[in-house]
Amino acid sequence: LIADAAAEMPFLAHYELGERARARVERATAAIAATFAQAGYAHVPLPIIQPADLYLDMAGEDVRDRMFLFEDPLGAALCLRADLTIPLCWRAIDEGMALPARLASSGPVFRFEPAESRLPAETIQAGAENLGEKDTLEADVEILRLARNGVGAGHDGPVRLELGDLGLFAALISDLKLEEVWARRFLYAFRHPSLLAPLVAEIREGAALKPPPLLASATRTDAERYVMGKLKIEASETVGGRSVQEIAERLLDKVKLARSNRPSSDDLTHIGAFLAIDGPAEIGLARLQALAAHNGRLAGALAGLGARLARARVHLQSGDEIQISTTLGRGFLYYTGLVFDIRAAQLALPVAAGGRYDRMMQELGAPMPTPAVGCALWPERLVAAGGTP
Amino acid sequence: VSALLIGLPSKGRVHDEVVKWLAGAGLALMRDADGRGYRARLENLDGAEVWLLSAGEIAASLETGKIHAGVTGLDLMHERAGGVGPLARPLKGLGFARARVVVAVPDGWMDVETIADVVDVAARHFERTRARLRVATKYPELARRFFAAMGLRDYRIVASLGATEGAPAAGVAELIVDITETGATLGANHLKILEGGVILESQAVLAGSLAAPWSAENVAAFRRVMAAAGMPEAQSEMFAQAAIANLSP
Repeated sequence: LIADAAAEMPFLAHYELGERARARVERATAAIAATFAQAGYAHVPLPIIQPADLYLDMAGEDVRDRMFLFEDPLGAALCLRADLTIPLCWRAIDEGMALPARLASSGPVFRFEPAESRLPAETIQAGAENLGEKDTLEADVEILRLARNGVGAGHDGPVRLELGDLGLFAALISDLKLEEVWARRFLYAFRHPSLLAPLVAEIREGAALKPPPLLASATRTDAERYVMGKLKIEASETVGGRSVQEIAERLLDKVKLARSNRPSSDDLTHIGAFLAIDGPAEIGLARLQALAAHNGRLAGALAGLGARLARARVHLQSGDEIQISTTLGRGFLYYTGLVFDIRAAQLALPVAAGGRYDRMMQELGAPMPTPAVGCALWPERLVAAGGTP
Repeated sequence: VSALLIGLPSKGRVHDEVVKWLAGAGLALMRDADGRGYRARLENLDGAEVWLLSAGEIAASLETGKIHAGVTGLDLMHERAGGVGPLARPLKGLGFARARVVVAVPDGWMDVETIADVVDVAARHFERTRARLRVATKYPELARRFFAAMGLRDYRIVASLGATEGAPAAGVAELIVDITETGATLGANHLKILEGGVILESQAVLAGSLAAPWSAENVAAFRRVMAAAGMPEAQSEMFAQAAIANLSP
């Protein structure tokens, strides 16, 4: 059994290790690569230096704090790659690879770590991405199996698989039948965790909202006329990059919000109970099912998670545990569905992590919707966790 | 014995105000006769040497300890990576160069009054266009830290080197983070300051560096400067003690 309070053991970067440990990291990296290759994942070598925009466009300004950014002598904005997923996806799009594509890569990735974290800025990662497979259940199970087998190639102890599904929250909110303006705010706050407590406080305290001077019965056309009249512009004009229609739509939303029924305290309790689920899979799933309305969207989404759980279980090894968490990965905005971590004893950090990111390929420029799921493993952490052959 | 090194702004309105303040306090700035013009001394304070630098250099040099003390803008101290570091201490506001660093959006955004509105607009903009709202600013660090605290994530910074207030009209950004004294320039450019959108109330400050190698003589000389700035005795004493604790061997 894996203790919850895993010792906060820092791990060393490969270049800080002694010769024998370093050889173990190399063997683990090679064994993971072999596992990926055997499963049909083609190895793609990737440059360490990447265009900075690739990451900043995808992840937003937030990631700047964690990245090594610089310019080349001609002024192009560059960075040290912070992961392998984004450059792998970009390569698949840039080369117009046939889909589905199974791609893998490995090597150092770079993230700034404050001194007190005692973590190295350079770590080795081995990643696999399954791009464009329309059967998402099969693809999810394949990646879970691959991640578990990859971990097994570098570490022979039992692990804890933590599973989540970022689609569950949207299903729960849909079942609650909140007014649309409130549903929107909850969905946004779920993915931006610092906003959730203020939102709940706002609902509980019932702070007065001042609606714009529009009638409750105002239609879209009324609101657009109001905006055009106030700003003295035509329907086709924009203001600071936003159209009359967009501004009118938000004004109407504010009217609705001020006059809407706030989520009830039962709704808040329901949402709170959902967010608190984090523990052994059977118990977690049962508690989720208890929250699901009969024939609702959550019930459907849970059937999907249950199927993945049942299929993944077959590929686990004796002594492994599975846990379910409703909040896992919600701050990583590119994830859209299944998310998971794999943890080994003794180590506070996961030895593998992954998930489904169905929107990223198109955001990077893929011509059509391209479902995608992948995983990343950290060989140095596997060696730190012990049991590496 | 090495002198107390003080960085002062080399030109502009802040320079003129500093000159006035020092003269009034009996520490008039005396430019060196060698004509280079980047070194000066203070009347009645033999142990001090003045370096005339840009305000940004002063903020950086306080952190690295290249100077013991200096006068710079509070905004520039906060704009350092990671914010005001533990070693560069703003000690006393000098009451001039007062201005606010603010978030401003186009006047015509009738539906936007607060930062929470911007968070919502940014999310919808990204949802619809797959592009992020652009924020023009010469304060990328202040802007990033403020937006992170407010939960705004769907945006990109556009570096601006001047005339930031023109960026939305020029179509290179949707909103700005800029410094303003009265807000008049913003208004003239059809921009409005958001409710809760004041990131920092800035002014010229006397600051000290605990990264610099202080000697007992340096500390004694700096006590005179702190007194001239009107620092309460207890606060001057606190900084002096911290500097003494750091005394270089």
